[in-house]
Amino acid sequence: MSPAPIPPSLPAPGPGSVSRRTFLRAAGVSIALPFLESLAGTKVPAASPKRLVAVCTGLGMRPQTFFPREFGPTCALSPVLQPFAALRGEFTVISHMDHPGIYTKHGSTGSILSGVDHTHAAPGQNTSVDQVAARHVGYQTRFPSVHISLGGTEGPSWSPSGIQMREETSPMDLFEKLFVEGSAAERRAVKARLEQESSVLDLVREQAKRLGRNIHAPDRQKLDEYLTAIREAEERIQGMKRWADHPKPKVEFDSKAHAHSGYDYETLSPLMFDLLLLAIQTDTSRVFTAGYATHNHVIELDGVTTGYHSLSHHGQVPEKLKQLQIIETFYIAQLARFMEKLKAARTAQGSLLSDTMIFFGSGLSDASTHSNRDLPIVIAGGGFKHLGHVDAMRKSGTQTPLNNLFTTMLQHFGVEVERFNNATGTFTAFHA
Amino acid sequence: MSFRIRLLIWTALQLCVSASGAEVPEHLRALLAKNCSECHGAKKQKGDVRLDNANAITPQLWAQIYDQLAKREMPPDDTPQPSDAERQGLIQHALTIAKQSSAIATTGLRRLNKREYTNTVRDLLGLRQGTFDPGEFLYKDETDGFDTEAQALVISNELLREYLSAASKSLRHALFTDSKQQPQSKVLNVHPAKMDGTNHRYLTRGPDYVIGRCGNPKGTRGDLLFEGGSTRILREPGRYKVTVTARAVDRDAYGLRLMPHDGPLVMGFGVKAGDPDSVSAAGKLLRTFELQDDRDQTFEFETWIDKDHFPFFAFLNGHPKPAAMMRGLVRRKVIPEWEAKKPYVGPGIRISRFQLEGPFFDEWPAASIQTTLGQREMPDLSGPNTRQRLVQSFAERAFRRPVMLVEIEPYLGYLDQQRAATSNERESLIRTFAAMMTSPEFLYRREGEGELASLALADRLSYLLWSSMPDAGLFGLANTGKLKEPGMLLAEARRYLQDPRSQSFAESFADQWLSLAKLGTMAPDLKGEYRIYHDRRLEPAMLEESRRFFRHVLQENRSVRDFIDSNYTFLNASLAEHYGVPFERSKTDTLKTEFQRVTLPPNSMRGGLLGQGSILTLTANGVETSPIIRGHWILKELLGTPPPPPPKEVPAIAPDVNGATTVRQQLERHRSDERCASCHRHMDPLGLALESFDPIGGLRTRYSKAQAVSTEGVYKGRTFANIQELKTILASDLRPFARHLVIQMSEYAKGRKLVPADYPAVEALLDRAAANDFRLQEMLLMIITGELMRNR
Repeated sequence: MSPAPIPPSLPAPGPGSVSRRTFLRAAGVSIALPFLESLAGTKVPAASPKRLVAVCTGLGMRPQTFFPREFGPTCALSPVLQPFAALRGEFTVISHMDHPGIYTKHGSTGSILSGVDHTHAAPGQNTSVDQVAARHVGYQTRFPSVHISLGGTEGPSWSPSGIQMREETSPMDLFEKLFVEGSAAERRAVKARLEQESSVLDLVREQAKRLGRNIHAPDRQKLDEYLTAIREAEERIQGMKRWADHPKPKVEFDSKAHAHSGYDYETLSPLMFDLLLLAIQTDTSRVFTAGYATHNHVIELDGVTTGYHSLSHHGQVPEKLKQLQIIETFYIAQLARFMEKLKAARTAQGSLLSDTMIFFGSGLSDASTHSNRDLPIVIAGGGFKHLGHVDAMRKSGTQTPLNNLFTTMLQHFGVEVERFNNATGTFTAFHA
Repeated sequence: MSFRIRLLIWTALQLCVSASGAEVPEHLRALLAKNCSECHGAKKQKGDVRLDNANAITPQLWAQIYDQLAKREMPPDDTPQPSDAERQGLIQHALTIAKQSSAIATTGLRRLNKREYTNTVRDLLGLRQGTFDPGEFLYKDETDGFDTEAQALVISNELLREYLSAASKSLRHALFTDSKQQPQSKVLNVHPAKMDGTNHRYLTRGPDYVIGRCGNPKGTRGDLLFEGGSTRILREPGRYKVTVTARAVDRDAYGLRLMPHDGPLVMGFGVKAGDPDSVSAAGKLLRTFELQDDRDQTFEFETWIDKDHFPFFAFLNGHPKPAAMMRGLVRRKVIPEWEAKKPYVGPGIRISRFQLEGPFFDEWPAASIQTTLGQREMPDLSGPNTRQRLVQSFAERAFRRPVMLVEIEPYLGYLDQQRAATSNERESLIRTFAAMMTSPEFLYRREGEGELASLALADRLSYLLWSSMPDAGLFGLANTGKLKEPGMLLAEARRYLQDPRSQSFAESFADQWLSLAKLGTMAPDLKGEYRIYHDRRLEPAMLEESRRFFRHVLQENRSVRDFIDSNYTFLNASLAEHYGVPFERSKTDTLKTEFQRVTLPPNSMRGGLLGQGSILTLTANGVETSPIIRGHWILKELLGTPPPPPPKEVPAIAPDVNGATTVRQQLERHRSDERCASCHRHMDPLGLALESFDPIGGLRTRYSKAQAVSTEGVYKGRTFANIQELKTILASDLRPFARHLVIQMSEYAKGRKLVPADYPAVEALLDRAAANDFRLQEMLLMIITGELMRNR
């Protein structure tokens, strides 16, 4: 695979400027990125739009080291949450919240953002929260949503038609997709291909309608599915055509940096989060998911020598618990780093962090028992009034459905929705 | 696939049917009173079921009664049992009511799934089973159960666009030229010094040779391949003659014998896609060669290379991470540090000549062109009659039915438009065919209602056994209506089964029935206790064992008893070693990958599915075993009697390996909870019997120094000491097991769950199959020729 070309119009770093690469060498993995103001060729929308970022992990967060022992805005932070120390007032950890119908153990990683067991879902009944938001934004941005893998691939994002969204696994490919302009010939070819696709869809739609004339009811239902797919594909193609002529934003990013394996989290995570930040800053997309998946490889972090899945089945062995804590603290540290960068990016209204709702969570809580109850959940940024650590246990003694929180988030995002999937209401503990 | 879902369909159908059926005969009423009403009567109503007033039993309850009796679930094994005749009497009554009062469900158009799409495109376009995979970009089908289940095979805008692009891409492979002239075959000499590897660090270049020193055990992906530089991609598909001169070098560099520690170096040859976005960019290993140390050998062979692909070489048994190995050697002071700092000169494959000659064709136009265009000569596409003929004949094959001219007029119109737009005859034909391959008539199978019409029946047979479109012979029989003549369907089914393409049924059915796809999703730690799983490539071997085993039982028409217990299996040397089974390896089998049928020694713990590494690994999680999960697997997948899901408020067992309690003790504690006991009573003993196998199916007698494995238990009222004895118990009553298999195969074929109205046919089939020991192929043919197959 050849390295992505640097956009030709990007000035090469001269003797006077500090290139990002130099900075990278000097500061380890902390990377300086230009703020929105300094970006050439990007338009700043008048009113800052809302963004949604969902970060998920595959093997839960060990409850004993994740949840703070007390509630309230000033609660002492748990060992794993220490990286949040400088971000008080920007996050809320939620206890006693989960998807009531989900008892699928490892399978639950696929339903964290939907609350629906995808293996048993009827067509059209398994949409994840990010895709509802993405549909709301549509092609106002170049990409309705962007999906990133931070290690392993099994994203929890499901399109309205029940298709599992594909994740970008390579920073290079993601960079190219978001910011590297194709040549004039390539762009013409893209447009021509989209035109041709449209013409085929017109043709087969007519054929499908003809077929529908003498057909019995169950067959017709399937044919309607097909016609809906055609209609949606056409909408999508129209959206893409609109953007085909529009130049991609130019950003400064070192396209040579790369992780030396898919489990080199220390390199991969900051790169991916920085690209995500650039995508937000340039309004290339407003909806993102990013995931640390389930696997049994050794995650390349200092002090970790055993496969991730093996660690999650720690059997209370102290050495394994120690390594698991390193990994889980790393997740939070990456999230904190991302939040700090959003916070530092000023906008007319304040900072990007207050425009960006961040959800962090996992379909499992205690992975050693495959428990799907009391999921580890953090909500950050988004302009919410944050509460440190809240208890979502209801008066009835049952946990609050996570989809209530998602309903609130969608409403905040501007989607008119009363109940997302199987929500029973909204989550009113905090309000903007 | 659960009973509950079936019950739901059933209940839905029953809403409009009156509560009770015919009068229940006196002897059956007495039987219900004698064997059932203690728990399901006036005093107690276990599971909210009451059977003391037989005439009030609803049809849906009769369906449940049938299900419980047929699976031997009720009455519970610790209560008095009815005689076989009594049991059959009740079953027959329940079935009569089922047949009378339930309608057959219809599921609507059946979309081709990913596998079927791939095979159909290959057959439609005459593409070889090369490296190129037509369905590579398609989204995976999300189904609950078999991937043939019509209801779950939805379509979406994403998928539709992928279908269009997959069709265009495949057509470009098939119609790679419109030249009447066969392409000239050329000789291409790749200069060895210009050969490239993806990892330069381990390449040594000389004036006329190249040495690759980094191992690549799979030969499929990673940074260990030799490639032929940027002009390496071959634009024309065909047979190519490859000449390569190679030797093994530096076996004892650093004064040590590094990997491979014994035997010769093995060089692999394969083909890879030039497009890095392609899934098949991973490459496909096609041949292996053993090299001599420091002595050149020249190999000559022919190989098929797809359009836009290129050949590669790999060092199959070398060390995959030489740098890490060197660091280890320095750490252990085997070699001095300064030596490790110099360029790596460990064992490698030295290639001094690499020549490609081709493409060669067996015929011209090439097979893919002839198949796609449906004629032997390269047509002149500028003639309107020719175009009409081509589109019509392609439509007939793509839509798998006769097509009238008026139906293809829109496509002809589209072809004309595209000709005007591109002024390229071949390109416009590709676009038109691609549109046809995106239409519902290609993507869906239409089965209608009631008894299947001849063409739909042919489609069903072909997709059942080959997962592809009917071939010309079957299509012809269906088109003329001959397929429905007596004996014809059976003869065609036999012909289809004898064809190698029927492997498609054996593999995909076995994979899904046994959930073999789960293998590898929870693999052990690469560096942990069970690393041999990766080091010895046990995973692909385990998968192959189970597939071969199923294929053997099917093709040899063995009794389904073999699935429970057998005195043979299929192993390669690595797997035999892992199992501790004697194995005679052939001299040429350096990589220990060649499979053989192996007769197991008496008293072996192996034999049947429950002794196979695949099942034992996929029912564990790569870290530890759980008797609950294995027990559940046996009940659900093997016997078709899944226990209900656990009560939701009961927490799962949290293992604490620091403590001294054994798995058995933990389970016993769990069972002391009454809510758990009724199901775990069945599940746990089955799983505990398999505790003599570790998470990757290796034998063990102890968990640790302190803890021994104990496997004894009770199943259906009979005690067993270990897995061998449990298998004897399971094999003593084959009917419930055979019934489960028949239901599974029928559901795979029909693309829907069976409903109670289908069950009389299942029972009738089992009655016939019982006479001949429930033989697998025989049962499959009974399904095909019987009403289960012929009716929607």
